[in-house]
Amino acid sequence: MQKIKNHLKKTLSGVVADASHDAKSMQEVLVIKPEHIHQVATILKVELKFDVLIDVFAVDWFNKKDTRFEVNYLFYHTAENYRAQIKALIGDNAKPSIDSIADVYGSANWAERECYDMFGIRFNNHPNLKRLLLWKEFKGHPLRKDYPINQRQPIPVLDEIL
Amino acid sequence: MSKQEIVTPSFGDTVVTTRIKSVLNWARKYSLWPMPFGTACCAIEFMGAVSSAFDLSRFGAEVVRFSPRQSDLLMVMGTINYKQAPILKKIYEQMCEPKWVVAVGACASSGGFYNNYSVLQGIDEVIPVDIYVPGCPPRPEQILDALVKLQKKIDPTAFVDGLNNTYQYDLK
Repeated sequence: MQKIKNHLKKTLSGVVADASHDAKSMQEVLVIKPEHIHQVATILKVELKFDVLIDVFAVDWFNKKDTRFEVNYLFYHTAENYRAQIKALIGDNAKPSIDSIADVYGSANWAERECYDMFGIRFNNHPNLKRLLLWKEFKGHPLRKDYPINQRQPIPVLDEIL
Repeated sequence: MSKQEIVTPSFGDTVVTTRIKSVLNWARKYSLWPMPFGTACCAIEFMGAVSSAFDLSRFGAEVVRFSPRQSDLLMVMGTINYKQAPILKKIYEQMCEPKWVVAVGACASSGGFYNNYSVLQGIDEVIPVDIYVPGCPPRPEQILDALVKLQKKIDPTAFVDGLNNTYQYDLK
């Protein structure tokens, strides 16, 4: 584990803005700029052999003026039982966007769609960026802090599949 | 000459005269076929209500069917979210007339404590409801009570327990 830890720090030293170790969840937390995410994901997959992307999720720091949204990626190395959390801080508060890593990790496809669904973060070059859980008439992104709690949406019509 | 005077000499007291409507309603209210639409913990309470400790069959609603086409009482038990609402409506439309709906529990009646973007605020937004059962989840006795109230709603001018006083049931 120490070996991969050193390897991780060495390989990513150019793009990581801040690194820390979260003892509670036993994983490395690395903060990067959003434009580096595809490069980082490729390095993790190809060079460091992190074989699983567990989840992609966003956080809405509503009161932070400069970086309201951050996108988190949880990577897992099954052979070493080792985890890394990549945090990308997104500068654009009005139209948050980040590159998709669905071509590197297949599981990012749906995870990024859910993230787009709930937070409205656009993933550039995503193969199929549409809502995953909510229905297509839904307006807005409900997990954003400025989504009104009482706001109701039109009742969806039945899909053709039924 | 009244009906009584015609019928009684021929048949004695072996004949009861009534109306077709009353007989039909009497048959309907004591042979309700419930269809459980269970999506949450209220459905577990329904299992308690149909099994031996409480026994829904004592009130005639014994045959629980899992097809809307074979049932006339839709029991909606649990949280219904917006994506499920059209499915519930479709199930309701597939049931044959006459049909009744019981909303069991706080979620089916009003959305319960789920005041958010995804949960329907009561199933009466999509289908008509006859009886609302409060509780989170309600006790099986409340489900039995809902059934008895529904029976009274189906046949409001029924005889009570063999007594000859007809009454109008107050649904309040």
